[in-house]
Amino acid sequence: MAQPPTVSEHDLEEFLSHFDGDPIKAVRAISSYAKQTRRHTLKKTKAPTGPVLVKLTDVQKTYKVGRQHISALNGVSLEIHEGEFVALTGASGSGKSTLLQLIGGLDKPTSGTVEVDNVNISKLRDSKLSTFRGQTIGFVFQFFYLQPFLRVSKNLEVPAMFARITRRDRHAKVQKLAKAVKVDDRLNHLPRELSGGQMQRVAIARALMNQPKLLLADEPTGNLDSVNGAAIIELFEAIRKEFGTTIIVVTHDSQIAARADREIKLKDGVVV
Amino acid sequence: MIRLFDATTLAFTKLRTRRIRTIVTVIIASLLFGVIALAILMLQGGVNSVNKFSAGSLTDRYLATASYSSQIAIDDDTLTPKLLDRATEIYTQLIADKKAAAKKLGIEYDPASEQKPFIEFGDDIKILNHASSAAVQAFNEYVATQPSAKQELEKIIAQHQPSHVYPVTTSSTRGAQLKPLTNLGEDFTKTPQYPSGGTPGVEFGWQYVDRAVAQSFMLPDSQLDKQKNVQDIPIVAPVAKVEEALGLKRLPNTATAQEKLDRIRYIRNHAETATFSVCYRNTVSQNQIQNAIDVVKETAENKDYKKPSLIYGLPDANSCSGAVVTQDTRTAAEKTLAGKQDEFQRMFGGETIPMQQKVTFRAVGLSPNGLSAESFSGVGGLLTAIAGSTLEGQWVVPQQMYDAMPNKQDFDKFLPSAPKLSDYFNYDSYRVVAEFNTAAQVKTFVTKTGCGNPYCDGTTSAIFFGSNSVLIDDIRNQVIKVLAYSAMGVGLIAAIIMMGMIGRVIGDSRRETAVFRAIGAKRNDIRLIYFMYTIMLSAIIIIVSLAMGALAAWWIDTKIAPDISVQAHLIYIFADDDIAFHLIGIWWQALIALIGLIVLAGFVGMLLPLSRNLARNPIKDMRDDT
Repeated sequence: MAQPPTVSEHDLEEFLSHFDGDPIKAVRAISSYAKQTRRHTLKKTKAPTGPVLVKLTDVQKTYKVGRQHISALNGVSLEIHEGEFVALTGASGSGKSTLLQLIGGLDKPTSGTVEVDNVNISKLRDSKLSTFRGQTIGFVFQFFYLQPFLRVSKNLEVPAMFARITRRDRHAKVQKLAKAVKVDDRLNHLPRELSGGQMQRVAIARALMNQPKLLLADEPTGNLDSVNGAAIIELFEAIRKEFGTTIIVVTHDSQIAARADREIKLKDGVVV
Repeated sequence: MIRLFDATTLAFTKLRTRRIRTIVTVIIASLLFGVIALAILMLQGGVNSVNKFSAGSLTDRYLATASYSSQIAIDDDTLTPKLLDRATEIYTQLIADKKAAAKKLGIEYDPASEQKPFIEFGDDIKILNHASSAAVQAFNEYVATQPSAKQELEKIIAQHQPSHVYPVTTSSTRGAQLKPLTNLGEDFTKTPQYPSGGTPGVEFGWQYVDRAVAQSFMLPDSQLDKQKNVQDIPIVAPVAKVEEALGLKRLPNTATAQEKLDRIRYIRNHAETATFSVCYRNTVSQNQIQNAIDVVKETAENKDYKKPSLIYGLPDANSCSGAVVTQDTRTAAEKTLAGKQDEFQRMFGGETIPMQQKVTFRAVGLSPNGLSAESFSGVGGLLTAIAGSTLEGQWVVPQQMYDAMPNKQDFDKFLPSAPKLSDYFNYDSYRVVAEFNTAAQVKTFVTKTGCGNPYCDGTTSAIFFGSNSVLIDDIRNQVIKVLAYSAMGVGLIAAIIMMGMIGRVIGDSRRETAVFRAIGAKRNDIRLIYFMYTIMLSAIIIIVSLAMGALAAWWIDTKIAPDISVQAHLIYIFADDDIAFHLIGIWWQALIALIGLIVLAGFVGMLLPLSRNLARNPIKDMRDDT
């Protein structure tokens, strides 16, 4: 085992003077630095290698609020590869949710192109975009957005209804997904009879119903306690493992960001 | 696009959101539409029932009575001077004849007692004096040269091509009087008064009408065959009068529906035994009776009263015989003079011999009672007024039966006299019942020929006769019109309520629409879901409103239909006993229109909020919600 480098007393005092002479403050600062250094090192080890699934080129998005034009994204260019688990982070108003919506085809960029699975979705017409969304993308929302008067099994079927999948196939998929997200014992329950974590697992299963290549999640743990939040992260990892799904998660949760393959940080509408 | 079944599944969840609001909306909209449904059911039920009751009666026929009256007025100052000259000539001749006759009979005659043939106004204007027999004769000679009322009316009617024309004539007593002979006999002291409402007695006259017109009011042959005395005048009589004639006491108003029905059936089954007698008295007979009454009265009231030399006494009240002379203290000369004066009167058309005759009518049919204020109370009364199949005048002698009487000549005195001046204007009139094949035809005839108001001075008049079949048609059409407007108004209100409800539900579903869009729903999928939601909501409102309407109609029917049934049996006397009046009937076209209206209201309510929803940015809706 290598010996740590020796530090003279003078050097140590000079070092501690940056922390008001408080060694605890200094340890905390070092610890924080160490964590950052370690994360950086880990990400580098999980560098994307598969084909590109999402490609944004110089994407700009401007909203008009009253007479003012507010710029949400300022020339974002990035690539996300198949099978990647990416965390989009940043402060509120940094543009991360806008970015997610553009990737999901829920909104169109003011300029630039958004390609998903080699399709320039910013140029698709509404009807084709809906079909594309239904078949390629799955959405998970912070507030789950389940149908309150449909049982869990029917809730899971909803995306398949829009995709005109037969009932028999739907039932088979429901069973499989419910088992995968561990809600197979709750299929006959109404959403109000589930816990928050269960509801989110149902919402994730629903998003996977049409076997999308891309799963977009907007603050999926934002409405959950830490235990359930951790379970959801594990579920994402399991999904990626089992279905090979590319996952993009908008989050403030450092745990998710830490466990993602890559963290894309946004600040003032640009990737930093 | 999403499958219909799946769209229905998702739409069904919409009904469960905002449940209280949905229930309130369904109740209010259903109440509004239920009122229309109620009106439709009751209208059709009423029409069906009237049709059922009236099958075979005059209500099924399109009849109008038309009359023509000459409008030449005797006091018209434009009549030719020749007519004045002719009246003067007749007057002069009459005075000369009377003078000669008086001289021959040896009695006195004062020409000044004669009415002058004309009246003068100033120096220039002279008009015929309607009180002068000479003027009337001159006038009648003149009008005889003009086309008769019969000719004129036939000409007018022919233009409208009726299927049948039946002459109608009214009985005439020519100054004589008819008095009812009741169980108590003849009431000498009272002059019959025409009732202001209800049913007048036969003493006020009757009409001679073709049997084809009266047929639906006739008793069945099996009953008529029982009538032995065919020398009595056959007559269709009002139910109330037959009831009296059968010795039945009128039922109190509190009588039950069943009691009323039993009564009408009893009357119907025994009507052939009912007879009505009146006593006919000419003016001389009446004067002698009056003389008898006056003498008794004056003797009792005035001690100084000097009795006349010739006194009459009242006959037996049941005999309809003439007054009997109870005292005649006249001298031989007085008697001779009186005889000569009678002869003088007879020479110039005066009556001098008393005539009286008991006239008996036998009931050969039943007509509904006359309308009175009481008739108009309640729904049953209204029915009487609008749907009643009535014979005008209520007392009707079927012409063919009258003609078949062996002693008909005994009663020919009651037949209308030849046209003559009856008042200032109408010297001649003629009346018929004209039958048409369709309601439209009879309506055109009445509209074009009739006067339409009581102050009309037209020569012709035409009104619906025998029934109100055209009125029923009109009422139905009017009700349909009112119903259509009401339906539009109510529909608009209900549509606004439904629009508010659907708009609110769709508005509340913005986030859900956004989520659906995010998970792959196309705009048409969303449209189909809300389309199905609207269909389901409309279907619930349709079912509830029809159920409410039917329930209300059933309730009203059970409450008032029994009474109307009685009323209907009183109107349609010969309708089957088993028939009952009901106020529930299915009018498919109107109900389908109502259903269409509800669905339309739903879709009108859906369009705007849905199109607004679909035009929104789903992201914004999701963001707004969080």
